[in-house]
Amino acid sequence: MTHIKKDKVAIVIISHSPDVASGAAEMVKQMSGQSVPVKAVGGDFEGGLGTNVEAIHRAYEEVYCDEGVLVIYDLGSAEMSAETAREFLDQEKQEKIIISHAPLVEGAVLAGAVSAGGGTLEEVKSAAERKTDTEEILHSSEGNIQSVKIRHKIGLHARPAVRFTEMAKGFKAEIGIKLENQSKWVDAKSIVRVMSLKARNGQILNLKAEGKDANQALNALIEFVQNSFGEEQSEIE
Amino acid sequence: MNAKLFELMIFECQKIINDNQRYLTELDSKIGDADHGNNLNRGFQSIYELSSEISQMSPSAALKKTGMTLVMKVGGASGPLYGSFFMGMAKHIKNDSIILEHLPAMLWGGIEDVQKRGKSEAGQKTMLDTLIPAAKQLENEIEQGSCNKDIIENVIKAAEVGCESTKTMKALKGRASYLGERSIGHIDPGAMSSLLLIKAICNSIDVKNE
Repeated sequence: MTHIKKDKVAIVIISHSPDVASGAAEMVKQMSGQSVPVKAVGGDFEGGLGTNVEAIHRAYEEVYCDEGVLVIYDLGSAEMSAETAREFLDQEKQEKIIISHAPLVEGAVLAGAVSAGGGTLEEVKSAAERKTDTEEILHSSEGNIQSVKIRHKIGLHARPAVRFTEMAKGFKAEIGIKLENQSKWVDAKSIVRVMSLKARNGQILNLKAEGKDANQALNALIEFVQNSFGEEQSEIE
Repeated sequence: MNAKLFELMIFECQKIINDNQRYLTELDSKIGDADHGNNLNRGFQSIYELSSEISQMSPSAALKKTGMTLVMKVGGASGPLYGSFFMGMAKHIKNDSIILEHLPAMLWGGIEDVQKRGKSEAGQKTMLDTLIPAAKQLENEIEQGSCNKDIIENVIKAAEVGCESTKTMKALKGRASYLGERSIGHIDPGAMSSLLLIKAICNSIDVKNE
């Protein structure tokens, strides 16, 4: 059942500044190791600030893989250059190159983490484009609270965290999550927040939800955690 | 449209951009990143260097090559935008020849691609504020059966008015939009470079027909 992937989703970082692009790429590599292909493109033709369609096109060709490429850029004209360069590729390749509006550094690092965890292009994209959470539920003492123990040898890591948040987003209810021994609730629909819990095997998660489908949401999410995030694994606990 | 006229147009475009390079960069330094003149000049210089090759091509191939060169050599936002404009025109050529009656359709094709590329429309303080009034004017003049001299004069006039109108606009696209209200009071450098190019192209036709 487990789908074995040959490649990880590649990341292209485009900035007007060569230093910003390569610096961000360095941060991605620190988080994700060598497994994720990352390419930094920055600067104009003379190495000054700007963008260069030719160089971006070359970067696409270099890192392209069947799993896809997530492109993250800094400012407006870089987006235009990113789109223009993509149009020079075959239709089939174009479809697997997604240009994301994610914040450059944070988006790239998160994308790298999820890609390293084997995330799909869509998962990598939604990780990069996390939304800031303002849900009131997180601060209220109301709501139905349930607890569940993590039963997965590497905890709530990148890939299940993506699935968990995607599942949470399927419900209208506001959903909060935290570790049992923590006091601060975070948004269960935010991949960044969920991953930052660093929830490990054996730890207890608290979940609470408020809204029409709150009970359904809690039941589904609890079941998902209880079933080791739907992943096959030989050694539970 | 013959090779000689095409070569002349390229020469005039290159010349006008080169002559106004500093002016365009100065406009861009007020509301942008101060590279418009330099960037465009590099692009039109490259086209000029290719002009004997380009002028031997069919009109659609020549426009495509022009657009592609701008995309590759100009950089920033203006490379993809001007590139889209010329390549968009190439897509709307009829029978691979340029005749006056088809020119508006070609221009609208180019404008449409600029709008798509820039996700923008008229009134946002961009090159479109020059190009759209110029295209409209050209369409009207042709419908009225104006002579070439009147067409050229009135198209330039419409482009000038359009370009000038960007002065009182608040920028809603590109780097200038970061300035918000402070972008008001300055002419948009892209609107100005479009005006210059329209003038250059009209001038080369003028010279030819007199």
